[in-house]
Parts: sequence; structure tokens; C-alpha cells
Amino acid sequence: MPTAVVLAGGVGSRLAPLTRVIPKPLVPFAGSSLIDYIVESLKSSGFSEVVVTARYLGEQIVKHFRGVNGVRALLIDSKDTADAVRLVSGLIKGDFLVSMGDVVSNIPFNTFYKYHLDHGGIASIVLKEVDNPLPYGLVYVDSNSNITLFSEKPASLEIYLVSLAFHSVKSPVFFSNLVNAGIYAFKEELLSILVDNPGLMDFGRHVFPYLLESGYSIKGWIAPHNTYWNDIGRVEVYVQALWDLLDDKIPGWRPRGKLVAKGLYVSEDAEINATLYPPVYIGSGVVVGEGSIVGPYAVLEGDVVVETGSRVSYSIIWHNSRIRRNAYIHGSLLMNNTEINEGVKVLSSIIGSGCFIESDVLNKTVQPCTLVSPYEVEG
Amino acid sequence: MRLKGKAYRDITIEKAARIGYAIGKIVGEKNLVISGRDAFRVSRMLKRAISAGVMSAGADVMDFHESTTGEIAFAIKRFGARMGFMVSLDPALSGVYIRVFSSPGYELVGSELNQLLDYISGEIIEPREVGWVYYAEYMHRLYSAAISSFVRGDLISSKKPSVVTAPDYEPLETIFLEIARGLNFNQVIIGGVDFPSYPMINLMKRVWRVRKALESDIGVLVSPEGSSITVAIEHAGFLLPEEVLQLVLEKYTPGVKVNVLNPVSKTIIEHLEKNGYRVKVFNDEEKFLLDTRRERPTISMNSRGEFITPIFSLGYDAITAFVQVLEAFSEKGSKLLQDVSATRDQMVYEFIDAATALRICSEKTEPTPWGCRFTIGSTLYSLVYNPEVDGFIKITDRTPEAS
Repeated sequence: MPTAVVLAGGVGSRLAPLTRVIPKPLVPFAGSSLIDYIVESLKSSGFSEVVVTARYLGEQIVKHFRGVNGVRALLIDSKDTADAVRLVSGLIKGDFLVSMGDVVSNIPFNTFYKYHLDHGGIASIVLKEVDNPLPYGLVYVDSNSNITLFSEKPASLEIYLVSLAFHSVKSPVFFSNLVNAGIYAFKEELLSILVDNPGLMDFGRHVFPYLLESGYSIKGWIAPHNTYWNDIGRVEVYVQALWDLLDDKIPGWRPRGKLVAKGLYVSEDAEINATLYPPVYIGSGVVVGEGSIVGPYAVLEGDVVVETGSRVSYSIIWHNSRIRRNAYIHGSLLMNNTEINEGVKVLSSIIGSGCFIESDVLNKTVQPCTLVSPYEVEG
Repeated sequence: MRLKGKAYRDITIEKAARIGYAIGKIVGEKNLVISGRDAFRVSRMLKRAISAGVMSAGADVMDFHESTTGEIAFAIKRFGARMGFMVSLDPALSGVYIRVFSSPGYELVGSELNQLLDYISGEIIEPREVGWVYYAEYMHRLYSAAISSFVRGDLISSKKPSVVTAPDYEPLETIFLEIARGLNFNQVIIGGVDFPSYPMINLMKRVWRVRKALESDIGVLVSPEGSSITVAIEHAGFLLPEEVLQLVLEKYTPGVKVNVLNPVSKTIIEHLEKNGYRVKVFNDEEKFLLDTRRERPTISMNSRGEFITPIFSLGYDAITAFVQVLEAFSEKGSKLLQDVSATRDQMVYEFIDAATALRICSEKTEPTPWGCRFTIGSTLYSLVYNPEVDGFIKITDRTPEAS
């Protein structure tokens, strides 16, 4: 069975302060972490061997997958995406698949991989149509799904100029709103190319342009129109992806916990004596006190305590946090081990892990007070 | 063999138009040629003459106005153009320099350039239709965006190295500003210097003083058309090209392929090889460029400090080297600079007053933006301006002959 490599080494600096305590692939995602969904999806698609490459805060990823059948998480000193694959190339036999460990997507890995095997390019890339391609790696394809050009985060005028130049010089048929979704399939031959050319450090910036210039065929597989794909680059995108999960907009993904009513996911060991307005996710060991109101759009990860009379809406609260009596949390993200004092209002803010908030906070980012992972068990 | 010389005397308007016609004939009617120039009047004049020649052969021109050599090489590759040219002042000669590029963006030198010149004297035949010219004035944003996404922007913006640059001529200033905005590092730009002449002593002085006053990590000096770079660091001052190469390579893993054109310091090349880099040294520029485009090493560098990063573009491009230095510095911090200083200490250096050094440079060789270099016997002498002493440092490898 083929091997899949999940790249989980990035720093995720744009997702700070969340990524100060946790690597981006482990960001909590309604009872799981982001990477769990990807790994589970790969395994259910027939990838019996999943290699996870970790670097930044990588010990957490290695620990996360310790003992998980069919997953090898390795802490490696890679400089970029292609470098990571080069460093684990000894573990890969035959054609293989590579996925970023920090995308939210229900792309059918098996359908894509079959396309790769059937179409014979040295590489196949999942392409996603987006309204605005400028923040991503833009890809041009001809009418036979051959990729003709890569452009990392292009300036808007580039698209115009390329269109102009291509019209007179190259193939007139191309699509200009397709982006590289960060999921690739390769022939085994690519591994020797990576080993022979250690200067090729990153897939988008180096490997794909190099392959094209060397005359290799790279195929673009355009994901079905209704496929969900989101690159969790910024906090707002992360929040939106969670709301999409609660709204059941990511087919194949669902929050942990039991679906007790439409949009209401509650873990069996949670203690709820409060009013819940869906969509809501209540994690394991959560306690919500009498008279509290949670939702709409609320995610309470494991062991969160919301005391009597408090209100939480449009907010995400990570593990082991405590909301004291009569507090009001709206439009905010509270990282793990935070504590909000009695009667305090937290509005449109991000509260870093381990912080104790004594007075009202509006529209602020409070950096973590202690660098503790949400998955650390206290004591 | 290069197209260099004095305007009106060596490169006339008529000859420029003939060169353009030759380019147009080679690419063929309706095919695309990229054009660019620096900010000087003569360059404007000659660029228009060459463009007219290209159009007269029925080929189209995409005109980028003020450009760097790197932009032209990059654009040929990115837009699939067949050829391109760049007209700029050559401060080493006080003349003009017409660089001609072929797809996918490599510069023609030597015999390949001669082949182009064979067309110059031929009969001019009217095309089916005169070519068109597209104006693409926003090239700098496009190129800066591409260059910024060529390196790990998240790493650079998180470490925020502080840099003093002196891009004294457009479009370099625009490019440096765009790159600083894209990569979010701390940059001080200084300008306002005289007509360029090599070595760029006044500019080097300013970069050094500002860098020192602000305690910035590095100072950067780029030649006016953006092909050559030198970097100034604490303790060592301005670096030799191969020392800049040392900085760039720190971003890569050992084992990467590197092409170098002599004359360069043996000490540094041996140091790089000892650290696992696969260095190929060339004595002939045509062979060096040919191998660069065929073998595509990770980086190529000539002894003037002109860099090529083939996976980005095949032309000499100092800006690509600059962002890679930033990335390496962001990853390694000041340890990177200490390593370079340590290698410098393995060489022999002595101070020479500025007047003597300038006289030696003008007698022995063509000057470069940072000084000059020449060989006597088998010994390479590199004279680098050092603002700290307002003189030059003569650097040689530690050989019995040099001592």
C-alpha cells in the first residue's frame, strides 16, 4: 500500500499567538486536532503507512502520535517542505502522496491518488478553484490538465501580464483562479531528484518550477466544485473553519462528541446545566453551570469550566480554561489554561494560554502568560 | 565578448536599431521580446532604438521601462518571451552596456552573442506586419512579490533582521521598499549619491556609517542595474563576493551544487568544499553561464559579485542573493556573520590608502562596485574599500607567494 507523508514542521507564525504553545497541525479542532482529521482521512483512503514530519515544537507531534498504529511521527531538522520529504525518503517505497498537515479539506485522497496513477505525470497536484487566488500559490493549466506555470503569491498585475504574454506565446487555454492546495502525489523517481538536488528545498518555490523546466509532466487535478478547502493561515480563518465544521459544511468531518440535536455536539462525560444554542461543541470533561448560556457558535474544548450565569457566544475556548460566574465571552478565542474573573467581559479578543483576566478586555490580543500546550495534563 | 562601449562612438543609434532588428529576426514575427533600461538618458535613447529594430522585424516588445537585469531575466522566463534586452550604464567603463538575453532568461555572451551580431549587417526585410509594443509599468511589484515568495517570508518577518540599503537608482529603491513590505524586515534606505562610478566609495561610506550608527545587522550595496551585491558586516566590513556566497549557502543544506567563476579566493572555496558544498570553478564566463543554465546549480557567482539563482531566473540578479542572505541570517543569526569573519581571518590582509588602491585598480583591471581584483602570477589580489579606515584592504590567500 502507498505511503503518505504529512508535513507538520512549519512554524505557523501568522497564526500566532496560538502557535506559540502548539504547532499549527495540533491546533484544537472540536475535540481533535487539525492533523488528526488528515491522518484519519489518509488511513481510510488506503494509505497504510503515514509518515508525519515534525520540526517546530515537534516533540508535541511525536508524542501525539506515539502508539498510533500505522503512523510514524519523526522529529527532523528540515529546512522546508521538500527538504522534509528528502530526509524521510528512505522510508518511502513506490509512488507516494504528500499532504500539508495544516489544511482543512475533505479532498478524497483515494480519488486523487488514482488520478495520479492513471495519468502518468511525475507529479500531480490538487488544485482548488478560489475567488481570489492572490494570497496563494497560483497555478496555470492547459486544456489537458498539464500545469504550465507556477506563481507563488502573485501580484495582481502578474495575472494580467501572464495572460497577455501567454496569449501571444504559449497555449491560449489556461485557468487563472486555481491554487495549489498543498496535496501532491509523486512517482518514486522524484525521491532521487530530491536527493541529487539538495538545493530544491520547497515544493512550490523550487521543486515544481524545476520539474517543469526540466521537461517533466506535472498534472493538475481540479478538486470537485463542492470540495471544502481552507488553508488555516490566520486566526480568523481558523475560527471560520471551526464554524464551518459546526455548520456541517465540511462533508466527512464532524466534531467529536455525540450529536444530541442539530448542530449540538456534546461529549458524554460533560456536565451541562445550562442553555445551549446551536451550533455548539462541548468537549470531554466540560462543566457548564446553571443559568449559563452557551452558543450560538461556541467551542468548549476538554475540561473547560463555565460557572453559573456566564455567557459564551461566537467564541472558542481551549482546554482547562475557567470562566468564573457571570462572565461574558463574545467573539473571542481563549487559549488553554486561561481564567476569566467573575463578571468580566471579553469581547473580540484573543487571550493567551495561562493568563488570568481580571478586568474587561475589548479588541485585544493578550500574549500567552505560560507556554503550556493545551494537551498537557496538569500536575 | 559583450555589447559595451561609448554611446555615439561604439554603439550608435543605427547600430542599436540593427541589434533590435537582429533580435526580432531571431525570435520571429509575433513573438515576444522583453525590454528594459536603467534611469539614464542614453539608456532611454538606445532602448527605444533597439525596440524600433525589434518591431521592424515584426516581433512584439513588452517594455518594462526602468528595470534591473534580474527583472528582465525573470520576466523572460515567467512570461515565456523568446528574448530580451537591457540597456544600462556601465560605471566600470563610463559607457553603456547592452545585455541580450535568450529564453528562458540567460544572458548571451561570447560566441552566442556573436551569432546574434551576424544578423546585424544583413538586409532589412519588411515584415508582414510591424510588431507591437506592450507597456508593463508595474514590473517592480510583480518581481518583488515573486522574489519575496521565493524565500521563507514567515521566518524573515519573525526574526526581523535590520538592514541598511543604498539602492540609489530607480527601480532599485522601489524594489527594496516592496521587498521590505512583503517580508516585513527592518530596513533603512539611504540615497542621494552622485553619478555612479566604481568603486562606489561614497555609497559604501554612507551605508557603513548608518549601519554602525543604527547597529543594524547588515549593510547592503547593489550595483545600479541590480546584478552585483556586496554586504557589510561588523568586524569584517564589506565582503568579497565569495564571502557573500558563504552567507547565502548557509540557507541550504551541504551537498548543493555551486558554480563559481574565477578569479576567487581559494581559501573560501576550499572552506565551502570542506563543508560539503559541491563547488565547480570555471575560468571562462561563457562555459560558466552555459553550465549554469544546463546543470542549474543552486547558485552561481562570478568574481565581480554577480549572482544567479537558476531556479528563480538565469540572469545575474543581486536582489535574489540579497533575500537569500536575509533568510540565512534569519535562520542562523549573528553566528552566520561570525563564521564569515573567521574565514576572513584565515587570509592575509593589509591596508592600502585609497589613492594608491584606486590607481592600482585603474592600472590593473576593471573596477567593481566594491573595489577590484586582479592576479599576479598565481596570486589573486582583492582590494575592497573599507569605510572604517577610509582606505582599502588588500586580501590574498595565505600562500607562500602572498606572504
